[in-house]
Amino acid sequence: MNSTNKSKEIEKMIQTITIKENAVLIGFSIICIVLIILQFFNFHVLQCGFVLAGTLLVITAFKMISSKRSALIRRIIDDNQIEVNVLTNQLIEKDAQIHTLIRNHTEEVEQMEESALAVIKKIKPKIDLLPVYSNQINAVIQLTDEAASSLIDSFRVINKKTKEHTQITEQSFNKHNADGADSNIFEYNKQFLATLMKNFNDITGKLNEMFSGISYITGNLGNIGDVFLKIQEFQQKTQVLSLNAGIVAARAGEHGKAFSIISREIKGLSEKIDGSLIEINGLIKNTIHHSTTILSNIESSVQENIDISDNAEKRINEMLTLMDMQISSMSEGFENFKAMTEHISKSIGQIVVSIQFQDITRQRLEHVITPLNDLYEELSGSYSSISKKESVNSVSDKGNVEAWMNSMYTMEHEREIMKKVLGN
Amino acid sequence: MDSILIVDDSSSMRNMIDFTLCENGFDCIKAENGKLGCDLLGNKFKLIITDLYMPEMNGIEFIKNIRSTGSNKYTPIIMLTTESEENKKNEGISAGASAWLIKPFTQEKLIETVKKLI
Repeated sequence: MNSTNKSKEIEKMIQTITIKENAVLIGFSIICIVLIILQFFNFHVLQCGFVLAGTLLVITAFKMISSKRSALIRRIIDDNQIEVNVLTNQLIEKDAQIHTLIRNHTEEVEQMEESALAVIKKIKPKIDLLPVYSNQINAVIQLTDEAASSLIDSFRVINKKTKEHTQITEQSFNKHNADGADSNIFEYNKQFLATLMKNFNDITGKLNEMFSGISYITGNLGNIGDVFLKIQEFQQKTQVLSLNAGIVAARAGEHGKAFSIISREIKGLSEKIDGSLIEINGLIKNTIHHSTTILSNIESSVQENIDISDNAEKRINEMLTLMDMQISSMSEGFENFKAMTEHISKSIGQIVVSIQFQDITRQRLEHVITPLNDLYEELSGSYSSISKKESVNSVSDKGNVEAWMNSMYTMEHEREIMKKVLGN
Repeated sequence: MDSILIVDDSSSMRNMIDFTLCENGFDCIKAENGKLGCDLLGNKFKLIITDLYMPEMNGIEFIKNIRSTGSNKYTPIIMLTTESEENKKNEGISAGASAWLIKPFTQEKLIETVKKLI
Protein backbone atom coordinates (compact mmCIF):
# COMPACT_ATOMS: atom_id res chain seq x y z
CA MET A 1 0.00 0.00 0.00
CA ASN A 2 1.44 3.31 -0.93
CA SER A 3 1.44 6.45 1.23
CA THR A 4 -1.39 8.13 -0.74
CA ASN A 5 -3.81 5.26 -0.08
CA LYS A 6 -2.75 5.22 3.53
CA SER A 7 -3.45 8.90 3.90
CA LYS A 8 -6.91 8.46 2.39
CA GLU A 9 -7.73 5.57 4.71
CA ILE A 10 -6.54 7.51 7.78
CA GLU A 11 -8.55 10.52 6.66
CA LYS A 12 -11.64 8.31 6.32
CA MET A 13 -11.10 6.89 9.82
CA ILE A 14 -10.74 10.40 11.27
CA GLN A 15 -13.99 11.39 9.56
CA THR A 16 -15.78 8.35 11.08
CA ILE A 17 -14.46 9.20 14.56
CA THR A 18 -15.53 12.83 14.12
CA ILE A 19 -19.04 11.78 13.08
CA LYS A 20 -19.26 9.48 16.11
CA GLU A 21 -17.97 12.23 18.39
CA ASN A 22 -20.60 14.60 16.96
CA ALA A 23 -23.30 11.94 17.49
CA VAL A 24 -22.25 11.53 21.14
CA LEU A 25 -22.34 15.31 21.61
CA ILE A 26 -25.82 15.48 20.03
CA GLY A 27 -26.98 12.57 22.28
CA PHE A 28 -25.50 14.31 25.31
CA SER A 29 -27.27 17.52 24.37
CA ILE A 30 -30.62 15.67 24.01
CA ILE A 31 -30.10 14.09 27.46
CA CYS A 32 -29.42 17.52 28.93
CA ILE A 33 -32.59 18.96 27.34
CA VAL A 34 -34.64 15.98 28.61
CA LEU A 35 -33.19 16.51 32.09
CA ILE A 36 -34.19 20.20 32.03
CA ILE A 37 -37.72 19.22 30.99
CA LEU A 38 -37.97 16.54 33.72
CA GLN A 39 -36.59 19.08 36.24
CA PHE A 40 -39.30 21.49 35.13
CA PHE A 41 -42.07 18.90 35.71
CA ASN A 42 -40.46 17.49 38.92
CA PHE A 43 -40.10 13.90 37.68
CA HIS A 44 -37.21 13.02 40.10
CA VAL A 45 -37.20 9.20 39.81
CA LEU A 46 -37.29 9.31 36.08
CA GLN A 47 -34.68 12.03 36.18
CA CYS A 48 -32.27 9.94 38.21
CA GLY A 49 -32.77 6.91 36.00
CA PHE A 50 -32.31 8.96 32.93
CA VAL A 51 -29.14 10.58 34.26
CA LEU A 52 -27.71 7.19 35.12
CA ALA A 53 -28.60 5.70 31.76
CA GLY A 54 -27.32 8.82 29.93
CA THR A 55 -24.07 8.82 31.85
CA LEU A 56 -23.48 5.15 31.10
CA LEU A 57 -24.31 5.72 27.48
CA VAL A 58 -21.92 8.70 27.19
CA ILE A 59 -19.09 6.83 28.98
CA THR A 60 -19.57 3.84 26.72
CA ALA A 61 -19.62 6.05 23.68
CA PHE A 62 -16.43 7.93 24.76
CA LYS A 63 -14.74 4.64 25.56
CA MET A 64 -15.58 3.34 22.10
CA ILE A 65 -14.39 6.52 20.48
CA SER A 66 -11.25 6.52 22.58
CA SER A 67 -10.44 2.92 21.66
CA LYS A 68 -11.03 3.82 17.99
CA ARG A 69 -8.72 6.87 18.31
CA SER A 70 -6.04 4.77 20.03
CA ALA A 71 -6.32 2.19 17.29
CA LEU A 72 -6.02 4.90 14.74
CA ILE A 73 -2.98 6.47 16.42
CA ARG A 74 -1.41 3.05 16.76
CA ARG A 75 -2.11 2.41 13.13
CA ILE A 76 -0.49 5.76 12.15
CA ILE A 77 2.50 5.08 14.38
CA ASP A 78 2.88 1.61 12.97
CA ASP A 79 2.62 2.84 9.42
CA ASN A 80 5.11 5.66 10.06
CA GLN A 81 7.44 3.31 11.85
CA ILE A 82 7.45 1.14 8.77
CA GLU A 83 8.25 4.14 6.61
CA VAL A 84 10.88 5.36 9.07
CA ASN A 85 12.44 1.93 9.03
CA VAL A 86 12.44 1.90 5.26
CA LEU A 87 13.93 5.38 5.15
CA THR A 88 16.49 4.53 7.82
CA ASN A 89 17.54 1.52 5.80
CA GLN A 90 17.77 3.69 2.73
CA LEU A 91 19.79 6.24 4.66
CA ILE A 92 22.15 3.60 5.96
CA GLU A 93 22.54 2.31 2.44
CA LYS A 94 23.13 5.84 1.11
CA ASP A 95 25.51 6.58 3.96
CA ALA A 96 27.48 3.51 3.04
CA GLN A 97 27.50 4.59 -0.56
CA ILE A 98 28.58 8.11 0.43
CA HIS A 99 31.30 6.75 2.62
CA THR A 100 32.51 4.64 -0.26
CA LEU A 101 32.39 7.67 -2.54
CA ILE A 102 34.15 9.85 0.02
CA ARG A 103 36.79 7.22 0.46
CA ASN A 104 37.22 7.00 -3.30
CA HIS A 105 37.19 10.79 -3.68
CA THR A 106 39.58 11.26 -0.81
CA GLU A 107 41.95 8.97 -2.56
CA GLU A 108 41.41 10.91 -5.78
CA VAL A 109 41.81 14.23 -3.98
CA GLU A 110 44.96 12.96 -2.33
CA GLN A 111 46.24 11.86 -5.68
CA MET A 112 45.27 15.23 -7.16
CA GLU A 113 46.89 17.06 -4.27
CA GLU A 114 50.02 15.02 -4.82
CA SER A 115 49.91 15.86 -8.51
CA ALA A 116 49.17 19.54 -7.77
CA LEU A 117 51.99 19.60 -5.27
CA ALA A 118 54.31 18.07 -7.81
CA VAL A 119 53.19 20.67 -10.37
CA ILE A 120 53.51 23.49 -7.86
CA LYS A 121 56.96 22.22 -6.84
CA LYS A 122 57.91 22.49 -10.46
CA ILE A 123 56.29 25.80 -11.27
CA LYS A 124 56.83 27.59 -7.94
CA PRO A 125 60.15 29.13 -8.92
CA LYS A 126 58.52 30.31 -12.13
CA ILE A 127 55.56 31.71 -10.19
CA ASP A 128 58.10 33.61 -8.11
CA LEU A 129 59.38 35.11 -11.34
CA LEU A 130 56.03 36.65 -12.26
CA PRO A 131 56.93 39.86 -10.36
CA VAL A 132 60.22 39.87 -12.29
CA TYR A 133 58.27 39.88 -15.55
CA SER A 134 55.92 42.59 -14.25
CA ASN A 135 58.82 44.72 -13.11
CA GLN A 136 60.68 44.17 -16.37
CA ILE A 137 57.59 45.33 -18.30
CA ASN A 138 57.18 48.31 -15.95
CA ALA A 139 60.82 49.22 -16.43
CA VAL A 140 60.42 48.96 -20.21
CA ILE A 141 57.29 51.16 -20.01
CA GLN A 142 59.18 53.74 -17.99
CA LEU A 143 62.20 53.66 -20.29
CA THR A 144 59.99 53.90 -23.36
CA ASP A 145 58.12 56.81 -21.83
CA GLU A 146 61.38 58.60 -21.06
CA ALA A 147 62.71 57.82 -24.54
CA ALA A 148 59.51 59.07 -26.17
CA SER A 149 59.64 62.21 -24.06
CA SER A 150 63.28 62.75 -24.97
CA LEU A 151 62.42 62.14 -28.62
CA ILE A 152 59.80 64.88 -28.44
CA ASP A 153 62.38 67.22 -26.88
CA SER A 154 64.76 66.43 -29.76
CA PHE A 155 62.01 67.04 -32.29
CA ARG A 156 61.23 70.29 -30.52
CA VAL A 157 64.87 71.37 -30.98
CA ILE A 158 64.92 70.20 -34.63
CA ASN A 159 61.71 72.08 -35.33
CA LYS A 160 63.01 75.21 -33.65
CA LYS A 161 66.34 75.03 -35.50
CA THR A 162 64.63 74.39 -38.84
CA LYS A 163 62.45 77.45 -38.32
CA GLU A 164 65.45 79.51 -37.25
CA HIS A 165 67.34 78.43 -40.40
CA THR A 166 64.43 79.48 -42.55
CA GLN A 167 64.27 82.80 -40.76
CA ILE A 168 68.04 83.37 -41.14
CA THR A 169 67.88 82.44 -44.83
CA GLU A 170 64.95 84.77 -45.32
CA GLN A 171 66.81 87.57 -43.51
CA SER A 172 69.92 86.95 -45.64
CA PHE A 173 67.89 86.82 -48.79
CA ASN A 174 65.91 89.93 -48.03
CA LYS A 175 67.53 93.27 -47.32
CA HIS A 176 65.74 95.99 -45.48
CA ASN A 177 66.00 99.13 -47.61
CA ALA A 178 66.31 102.65 -46.23
CA ASP A 179 62.76 103.46 -47.30
CA GLY A 180 61.52 100.53 -45.21
CA ALA A 181 60.47 98.38 -48.14
CA ASP A 182 61.68 94.79 -48.19
CA SER A 183 63.55 93.56 -51.21
CA ASN A 184 66.02 90.77 -51.69
CA ILE A 185 69.76 91.29 -51.75
CA PHE A 186 70.00 90.50 -55.46
CA GLU A 187 67.42 93.12 -56.24
CA TYR A 188 69.45 95.52 -54.12
CA ASN A 189 72.66 94.63 -55.99
CA LYS A 190 70.86 94.99 -59.29
CA GLN A 191 69.75 98.48 -58.35
CA PHE A 192 73.27 99.23 -57.13
CA LEU A 193 74.78 98.14 -60.45
CA ALA A 194 72.24 100.20 -62.37
CA THR A 195 73.18 103.23 -60.24
CA LEU A 196 76.86 102.47 -60.77
CA MET A 197 76.28 102.33 -64.52
CA LYS A 198 74.41 105.62 -64.45
CA ASN A 199 77.20 107.24 -62.41
CA PHE A 200 79.73 105.91 -64.88
CA ASN A 201 77.82 107.43 -67.77
CA ASP A 202 77.53 110.66 -65.81
CA ILE A 203 81.32 110.71 -65.33
CA THR A 204 81.82 110.16 -69.08
CA GLY A 205 79.39 113.03 -69.72
CA LYS A 206 81.31 115.23 -67.31
CA LEU A 207 84.59 114.32 -69.02
CA ASN A 208 83.04 115.26 -72.35
CA GLU A 209 81.95 118.55 -70.85
CA MET A 210 85.48 119.09 -69.53
CA PHE A 211 86.88 118.26 -72.98
CA SER A 212 84.57 120.82 -74.55
CA GLY A 213 85.51 123.39 -71.91
CA ILE A 214 89.25 122.89 -72.40
CA SER A 215 88.77 122.94 -76.23
CA TYR A 216 86.99 126.24 -75.79
CA ILE A 217 89.83 127.57 -73.61
CA THR A 218 92.42 126.35 -76.14
CA GLY A 219 90.38 128.00 -78.90
CA ASN A 220 90.36 131.23 -76.90
CA LEU A 221 94.09 130.96 -76.41
CA GLY A 222 94.35 130.85 -80.23
CA ASN A 223 92.29 134.00 -80.34
CA ILE A 224 94.68 135.58 -77.78
CA GLY A 225 97.51 134.67 -80.23
CA ASP A 226 95.75 136.71 -82.94
CA VAL A 227 95.42 139.64 -80.50
CA PHE A 228 99.09 139.13 -79.63
CA LEU A 229 100.06 139.39 -83.34
CA LYS A 230 98.10 142.61 -83.62
CA ILE A 231 99.86 143.97 -80.48
CA GLN A 232 103.22 142.83 -81.95
CA GLU A 233 102.35 144.58 -85.20
CA PHE A 234 101.40 147.68 -83.20
CA GLN A 235 104.70 147.42 -81.21
CA GLN A 236 106.74 147.11 -84.41
CA LYS A 237 104.97 150.15 -85.84
CA THR A 238 105.64 152.01 -82.54
CA GLN A 239 109.32 151.03 -82.81
CA VAL A 240 109.48 152.31 -86.40
CA LEU A 241 107.63 155.43 -85.31
CA SER A 242 110.13 155.91 -82.45
CA LEU A 243 113.07 155.46 -84.85
CA ASN A 244 111.59 158.02 -87.24
CA ALA A 245 110.92 160.36 -84.35
CA GLY A 246 114.58 160.03 -83.29
CA ILE A 247 115.78 160.88 -86.82
CA VAL A 248 113.38 163.85 -86.94
CA ALA A 249 114.57 165.02 -83.50
CA ALA A 250 118.26 164.77 -84.57
CA ARG A 251 117.53 166.83 -87.64
CA ALA A 252 115.81 169.47 -85.54
CA GLY A 253 118.96 169.86 -83.41
CA GLU A 254 118.50 171.83 -80.23
CA HIS A 255 114.77 172.29 -80.87
CA GLY A 256 114.23 168.65 -81.20
CA LYS A 257 115.87 167.67 -77.85
CA ALA A 258 112.56 167.30 -75.97
CA PHE A 259 111.10 165.36 -78.83
CA SER A 260 114.26 163.26 -78.87
CA ILE A 261 113.62 162.43 -75.13
CA ILE A 262 109.96 161.39 -75.90
CA SER A 263 111.23 159.41 -78.86
CA ARG A 264 113.68 157.50 -76.59
CA GLU A 265 110.96 156.92 -74.01
CA ILE A 266 108.65 155.53 -76.70
CA LYS A 267 111.50 153.35 -77.92
CA GLY A 268 112.10 152.14 -74.30
CA LEU A 269 108.37 151.37 -73.88
CA SER A 270 108.33 149.64 -77.23
CA GLU A 271 111.28 147.49 -76.21
CA LYS A 272 109.59 146.64 -72.88
CA ILE A 273 106.35 145.77 -74.75
CA ASP A 274 108.42 143.63 -77.05
CA GLY A 275 109.95 141.83 -74.04
CA SER A 276 106.51 141.35 -72.51
CA LEU A 277 105.12 140.20 -75.81
CA ILE A 278 107.92 137.63 -76.13
CA GLU A 279 107.15 136.47 -72.57
CA ILE A 280 103.35 136.34 -73.19
CA ASN A 281 103.94 134.56 -76.48
CA GLY A 282 106.04 132.00 -74.61
CA LEU A 283 103.34 131.55 -71.96
CA ILE A 284 100.56 131.25 -74.56
CA LYS A 285 102.54 128.74 -76.54
CA ASN A 286 103.30 126.83 -73.38
CA THR A 287 99.63 126.92 -72.29
CA ILE A 288 98.44 125.85 -75.71
CA HIS A 289 100.97 123.03 -75.67
CA HIS A 290 99.81 121.85 -72.24
CA SER A 291 96.15 122.32 -73.12
CA THR A 292 96.65 120.29 -76.27
CA THR A 293 98.34 117.57 -74.23
CA ILE A 294 95.50 117.68 -71.67
CA LEU A 295 92.92 117.68 -74.43
CA SER A 296 94.64 114.77 -76.06
CA ASN A 297 94.72 112.93 -72.72
CA ILE A 298 91.09 113.81 -71.96
CA GLU A 299 90.09 112.79 -75.44
CA SER A 300 91.84 109.45 -75.08
CA SER A 301 90.40 109.07 -71.52
CA VAL A 302 86.91 109.90 -72.72
CA GLN A 303 87.27 107.45 -75.57
CA GLU A 304 88.70 104.88 -73.20
CA ASN A 305 85.92 105.66 -70.74
CA ILE A 306 83.33 105.31 -73.44
CA ASP A 307 84.80 101.98 -74.45
CA ILE A 308 84.96 100.85 -70.83
CA SER A 309 81.48 102.20 -70.24
CA ASP A 310 80.13 100.41 -73.29
CA ASN A 311 81.88 97.25 -72.22
CA ALA A 312 80.77 97.69 -68.59
CA GLU A 313 77.21 98.37 -69.66
CA LYS A 314 77.24 95.27 -71.77
CA ARG A 315 78.74 93.24 -68.93
CA ILE A 316 76.44 94.77 -66.35
CA ASN A 317 73.44 94.06 -68.54
CA GLU A 318 74.61 90.49 -68.92
CA MET A 319 75.14 90.36 -65.16
CA LEU A 320 71.73 91.85 -64.54
CA THR A 321 70.15 89.31 -66.86
CA LEU A 322 72.02 86.55 -65.05
CA MET A 323 71.09 88.03 -61.71
CA ASP A 324 67.47 88.19 -62.77
CA MET A 325 67.64 84.54 -63.63
CA GLN A 326 69.40 83.76 -60.37
CA ILE A 327 66.96 85.86 -58.42
CA SER A 328 64.12 84.01 -60.01
CA SER A 329 65.82 80.66 -59.45
CA MET A 330 66.79 81.47 -55.87
CA SER A 331 63.41 82.90 -55.13
CA GLU A 332 61.85 79.71 -56.40
CA GLY A 333 64.43 77.71 -54.41
CA PHE A 334 63.72 79.71 -51.31
CA GLU A 335 59.98 79.22 -51.68
CA ASN A 336 60.63 75.48 -52.07
CA PHE A 337 62.89 75.60 -49.02
CA LYS A 338 60.18 77.35 -47.03
CA ALA A 339 57.57 74.87 -48.20
CA MET A 340 59.88 71.99 -47.31
CA THR A 341 60.54 73.48 -43.89
CA GLU A 342 56.82 73.82 -43.28
CA HIS A 343 56.34 70.25 -44.48
CA ILE A 344 59.12 69.02 -42.16
CA SER A 345 57.60 70.99 -39.29
CA LYS A 346 54.18 69.48 -39.97
CA SER A 347 55.65 65.99 -40.31
CA ILE A 348 57.49 66.43 -37.02
CA GLY A 349 54.20 67.50 -35.45
CA GLN A 350 52.53 64.37 -36.77
CA ILE A 351 55.41 62.17 -35.56
CA VAL A 352 55.20 63.77 -32.14
CA VAL A 353 51.45 63.22 -31.98
CA SER A 354 51.90 59.60 -33.06
CA ILE A 355 54.08 59.10 -29.95
CA GLN A 356 50.84 58.95 -27.95
CA PHE A 357 50.71 55.34 -29.14
CA GLN A 358 53.42 54.78 -26.54
CA ASP A 359 50.95 55.88 -23.87
CA ILE A 360 48.25 53.63 -25.31
CA THR A 361 50.72 50.72 -25.36
CA ARG A 362 51.65 51.54 -21.77
CA GLN A 363 48.03 51.34 -20.68
CA ARG A 364 47.52 48.09 -22.57
CA LEU A 365 50.62 46.62 -20.93
CA GLU A 366 49.31 47.76 -17.55
CA HIS A 367 46.12 45.89 -18.35
CA VAL A 368 48.32 42.79 -18.77
CA ILE A 369 50.48 43.43 -15.71
CA THR A 370 47.55 43.92 -13.31
CA PRO A 371 45.99 40.46 -13.94
CA LEU A 372 49.52 39.01 -13.97
CA ASN A 373 50.07 40.40 -10.47
CA ASP A 374 46.63 39.13 -9.40
CA LEU A 375 47.54 35.71 -10.77
CA TYR A 376 50.79 35.81 -8.83
CA GLU A 377 48.92 36.67 -5.60
CA GLU A 378 46.44 33.89 -6.23
CA LEU A 379 49.09 31.31 -7.05
CA SER A 380 51.19 32.39 -4.08
CA GLY A 381 48.13 32.04 -1.84
CA SER A 382 47.42 28.58 -3.20
CA TYR A 383 51.02 27.62 -2.77
CA SER A 384 51.02 28.85 0.83
CA SER A 385 47.92 26.81 1.69
CA ILE A 386 49.36 23.67 0.11
CA SER A 387 52.86 24.18 1.42
CA LYS A 388 51.46 24.20 4.98
CA LYS A 389 50.67 20.53 4.53
CA GLU A 390 54.02 19.64 3.08
CA SER A 391 57.23 21.55 2.76
CA VAL A 392 58.00 22.27 -0.86
CA ASN A 393 61.64 22.03 -1.57
CA SER A 394 62.27 23.80 -4.84
CA VAL A 395 65.74 25.14 -4.31
CA SER A 396 67.24 23.20 -7.14
CA ASP A 397 64.40 24.19 -9.49
CA LYS A 398 64.69 27.81 -8.41
CA GLY A 399 68.39 27.65 -9.05
CA ASN A 400 67.78 26.30 -12.54
CA VAL A 401 65.21 28.99 -13.28
CA GLU A 402 67.53 31.70 -12.06
CA ALA A 403 70.25 30.32 -14.26
CA TRP A 404 67.79 30.41 -17.14
CA MET A 405 66.80 33.98 -16.26
CA ASN A 406 70.44 34.98 -16.12
CA SER A 407 70.97 33.62 -19.57
CA MET A 408 67.85 35.39 -20.83
CA TYR A 409 68.32 38.81 -19.20
CA THR A 410 71.65 39.82 -20.64
CA MET A 411 71.26 43.55 -20.09
CA GLU A 412 72.60 45.06 -16.89
CA HIS A 413 69.36 46.95 -16.18
CA GLU A 414 67.34 43.77 -16.64
CA ARG A 415 69.61 41.88 -14.26
CA GLU A 416 69.31 44.64 -11.67
CA ILE A 417 65.52 44.44 -11.75
CA MET A 418 65.60 40.64 -11.58
CA LYS A 419 67.97 40.63 -8.59
CA LYS A 420 65.97 43.31 -6.82
CA VAL A 421 62.71 41.35 -7.18
CA LEU A 422 64.27 38.02 -6.27
CA GLY A 423 65.95 39.62 -3.28
CA ASN A 424 69.48 38.62 -4.32
CA MET B 1 47.85 83.63 -15.96
CA ASP B 2 47.13 83.07 -19.62
CA SER B 3 48.34 79.49 -19.99
CA ILE B 4 47.06 75.92 -20.29
CA LEU B 5 47.55 73.33 -17.54
CA ILE B 6 48.43 69.80 -18.73
CA VAL B 7 48.04 66.97 -16.19
CA ASP B 8 49.17 63.48 -17.25
CA ASP B 9 51.31 60.80 -15.57
CA SER B 10 52.99 59.98 -18.88
CA SER B 11 55.88 62.36 -19.56
CA SER B 12 55.72 61.65 -23.30
CA MET B 13 52.03 62.60 -23.39
CA ARG B 14 52.68 65.78 -21.41
CA ASN B 15 55.53 66.68 -23.71
CA MET B 16 53.54 65.82 -26.84
CA ILE B 17 50.60 68.04 -25.86
CA ASP B 18 52.97 70.82 -24.76
CA PHE B 19 54.82 70.59 -28.09
CA THR B 20 51.61 70.72 -30.14
CA LEU B 21 50.11 73.61 -28.18
CA CYS B 22 53.37 75.62 -28.10
CA GLU B 23 53.66 75.22 -31.88
CA ASN B 24 50.26 76.85 -32.09
CA GLY B 25 51.14 79.76 -29.86
CA PHE B 26 49.87 78.56 -26.49
CA ASP B 27 51.81 78.69 -23.25
CA CYS B 28 51.69 75.51 -21.14
CA ILE B 29 52.36 74.35 -17.58
CA LYS B 30 52.69 70.62 -16.80
CA ALA B 31 51.89 68.38 -13.79
CA GLU B 32 52.40 64.63 -13.27
CA ASN B 33 49.11 63.79 -11.55
CA GLY B 34 45.91 65.25 -10.14
CA LYS B 35 47.43 65.93 -6.74
CA LEU B 36 50.31 67.96 -8.20
CA GLY B 37 47.80 69.59 -10.55
CA CYS B 38 45.77 70.72 -7.52
CA ASP B 39 48.89 72.41 -6.11
CA LEU B 40 48.93 74.65 -9.19
CA LEU B 41 45.26 75.62 -9.02
CA GLY B 42 46.09 78.85 -7.22
CA ASN B 43 46.79 80.20 -10.70
CA LYS B 44 44.00 81.01 -13.13
CA PHE B 45 44.27 78.92 -16.30
CA LYS B 46 42.72 79.46 -19.72
CA LEU B 47 42.14 75.74 -20.10
CA ILE B 48 42.95 72.50 -18.26
CA ILE B 49 43.76 69.22 -20.02
CA THR B 50 43.81 66.10 -17.85
CA ASP B 51 44.27 62.36 -18.28
CA LEU B 52 41.67 59.99 -16.75
CA TYR B 53 43.81 57.30 -15.13
CA MET B 54 46.63 58.65 -12.99
CA PRO B 55 48.27 57.62 -9.71
CA GLU B 56 47.71 59.63 -6.51
CA MET B 57 44.56 61.34 -7.87
CA ASN B 58 42.72 60.33 -11.03
CA GLY B 59 41.14 62.66 -13.59
CA ILE B 60 37.58 62.46 -12.24
CA GLU B 61 38.63 63.35 -8.69
CA PHE B 62 40.84 66.12 -10.05
CA ILE B 63 37.94 67.62 -12.04
CA LYS B 64 35.64 67.42 -9.00
CA ASN B 65 38.31 69.24 -7.03
CA ILE B 66 38.58 71.98 -9.65
CA ARG B 67 34.81 72.40 -9.88
CA SER B 68 34.28 72.50 -6.12
CA THR B 69 36.00 75.83 -5.50
CA GLY B 70 38.73 78.23 -6.55
CA SER B 71 39.60 80.50 -9.42
CA ASN B 72 39.33 77.69 -12.01
CA LYS B 73 35.79 76.71 -11.06
CA TYR B 74 34.51 77.71 -14.51
CA THR B 75 37.71 76.97 -16.51
CA PRO B 76 37.02 74.62 -19.45
CA ILE B 77 38.46 71.12 -18.99
CA ILE B 78 39.39 68.54 -21.63
CA MET B 79 39.66 64.95 -20.48
CA LEU B 80 42.03 62.61 -22.32
CA THR B 81 41.63 58.86 -22.22
CA THR B 82 41.79 55.62 -24.11
CA GLU B 83 38.32 54.78 -22.78
CA SER B 84 35.59 54.84 -25.38
CA GLU B 85 32.83 53.54 -23.09
CA GLU B 86 29.85 55.84 -22.84
CA ASN B 87 29.44 55.42 -19.07
CA LYS B 88 33.03 56.54 -18.44
CA LYS B 89 32.46 59.52 -20.68
CA ASN B 90 29.26 60.36 -18.83
CA GLU B 91 31.08 60.04 -15.52
CA GLY B 92 33.65 62.58 -16.73
CA ILE B 93 31.02 64.94 -18.08
CA SER B 94 29.01 64.67 -14.84
CA ALA B 95 32.14 65.49 -12.84
CA GLY B 96 32.51 68.67 -14.89
CA ALA B 97 34.61 67.90 -17.99
CA SER B 98 33.83 70.25 -20.90
CA ALA B 99 35.13 67.95 -23.63
CA TRP B 100 36.41 64.42 -24.07
CA LEU B 101 39.28 63.32 -26.35
CA ILE B 102 39.96 59.67 -27.03
CA LYS B 103 43.58 58.66 -27.68
CA PRO B 104 44.98 58.52 -30.27
CA PHE B 105 43.88 61.94 -31.55
CA THR B 106 45.34 64.12 -34.29
CA GLN B 107 47.06 67.48 -33.88
CA GLU B 108 44.17 69.11 -35.72
CA LYS B 109 41.59 67.51 -33.42
CA LEU B 110 43.43 68.69 -30.31
CA ILE B 111 43.85 72.23 -31.60
CA GLU B 112 40.26 72.37 -32.83
CA THR B 113 38.96 71.25 -29.41
CA VAL B 114 41.21 73.69 -27.56
CA LYS B 115 40.23 76.63 -29.78
CA LYS B 116 36.56 75.77 -29.45
CA LEU B 117 36.78 75.97 -25.65
CA ILE B 118 38.98 79.04 -25.27
